[in-house]
Amino acid sequence: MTTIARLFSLFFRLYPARFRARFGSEMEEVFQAGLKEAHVQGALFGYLMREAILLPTSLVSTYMWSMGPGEGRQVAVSSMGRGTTGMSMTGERWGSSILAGLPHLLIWILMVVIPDFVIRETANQIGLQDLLVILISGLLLGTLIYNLFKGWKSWSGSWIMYLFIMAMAWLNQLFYQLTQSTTQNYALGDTLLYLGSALLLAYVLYKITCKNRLWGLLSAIPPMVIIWNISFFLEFVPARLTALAHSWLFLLAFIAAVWMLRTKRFWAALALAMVVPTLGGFPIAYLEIYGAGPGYFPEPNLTNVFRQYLPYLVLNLAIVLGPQLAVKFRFVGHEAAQAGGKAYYRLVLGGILCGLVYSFIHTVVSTGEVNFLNIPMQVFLAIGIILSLLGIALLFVAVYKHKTPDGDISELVHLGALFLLLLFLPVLVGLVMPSVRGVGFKNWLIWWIGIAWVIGAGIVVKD
Amino acid sequence: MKEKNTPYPMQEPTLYILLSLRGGEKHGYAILKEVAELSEGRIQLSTGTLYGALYRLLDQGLIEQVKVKDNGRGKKIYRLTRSGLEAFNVEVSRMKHVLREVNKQVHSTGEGQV
Repeated sequence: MTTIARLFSLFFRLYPARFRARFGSEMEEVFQAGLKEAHVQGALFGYLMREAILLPTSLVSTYMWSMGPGEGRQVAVSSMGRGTTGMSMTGERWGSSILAGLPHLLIWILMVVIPDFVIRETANQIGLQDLLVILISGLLLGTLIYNLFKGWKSWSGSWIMYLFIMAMAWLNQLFYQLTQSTTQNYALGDTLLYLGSALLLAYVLYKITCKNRLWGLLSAIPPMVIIWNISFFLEFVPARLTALAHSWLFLLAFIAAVWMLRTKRFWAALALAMVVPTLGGFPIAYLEIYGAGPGYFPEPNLTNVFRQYLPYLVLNLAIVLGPQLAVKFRFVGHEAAQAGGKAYYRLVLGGILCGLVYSFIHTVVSTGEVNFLNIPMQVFLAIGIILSLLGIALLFVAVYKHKTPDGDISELVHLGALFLLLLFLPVLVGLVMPSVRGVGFKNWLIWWIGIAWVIGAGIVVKD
Repeated sequence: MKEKNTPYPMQEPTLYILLSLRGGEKHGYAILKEVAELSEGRIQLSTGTLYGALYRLLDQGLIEQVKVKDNGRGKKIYRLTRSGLEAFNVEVSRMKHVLREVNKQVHSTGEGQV
């Protein structure tokens, strides 16, 4: 009997940490009481079977509730109602704050120190980098498992995002190997992988932001850092200069992540998240124009630097601000839930997601020779427009019915602003991406519109 | 905590847990026993299922947890909140309405009441 009780108490440890902290000892008591009674009644086998068979489903549903809509909903309607921002809390301790920044240092070692210093200096080709990739992947995975069992820690955002990026990189590698051996339809698969990872990234960021807006900001830093690291052509720039520029970016990311948790103030965190690409990206764009030496870029000047810098900066800031806007929009839907608004905001978000798919495909089509994507592109555009417009119209009606008995239209204006800014996200991606590094008045105009969007979104996401 | 997004129709175990608490506050094991009794043995909750359901109900604000002293130890009991009672009544009304509609339909086809 005692052994069985011990065994089941081990099984109970599989539940999420918060759940265990709340019910763990009580569950063990109830289980033991049931065990004794079943033993007396001679129904021990049936009792144990029922406990064992129902355990997995109970575990899954508890995890789903803990990680998904249950607590997410609680957060979305808590405090000031726009998702918790952590503003009322005191800052984290140094240990947790440094843990939040630590993955930036690890990835810096992997992406900058090893290739630019160790391998170049020592001609070390013995797979040190591969070993480090495996080690860091293991560490990130271990952190995920630790958080699953011990409950989500405030510092976990950057770890989870780097794990996600690593997983995507591994998947990409695997896919590349597979398509190399089969050589079938590489373009289609590559495009789908590209679209899938971008949309999944957007979804993960949105879900994290739903849980906690501060974590959302913390999680937005890794993708931005990686984008700046891989998107610029620095092949002809001296290795030391490249390494310095990249190191500066990682250092900023580390400092920003640490201070986000130290201060735990939403505005400070938003500013820190925006500072990383703004200050960290400029030297990289500068080096691409000026750093390659005479001959490579005949007329290096600051205008060219900004042509490189601004589109990426706007896209990076959209990574910070987009999920925050979506969560505020979600709040409006929840506020009007009694009038059915919750369903309508989902229609709008669905429409915007279709718009994003359209934008990505449009980017692929306009930058490559993948004409077979034209039809899906048109379909996604049509569905996106219909869902967005239908959803926003219904949501307006729901909010109007729910919120404005005294004729106050401020909530409706706020809703309209959120909708326009959110709707502009796919447009922004669609417009900016194909024109990255382009020239001419049209492109300048698009970039300035992008900057105006950033300022507008920054104002609207305030609490 | 106010009620948030109560799902209708409720799952049967959830409904029975609320029904059990409608009769008065109880601790976990008492709920487990009473659900089995009320459902005439049809619903036998496992420990995990019971606490998973209590977790969700607490989160939704339909029940609340109270600590009482029992032999010097802190013991947790659960009780229905006002939102929980409302949610329970809404669900029961919904079920009654469904039954009425079914009976009307059955009656019109001359098959006798359900």
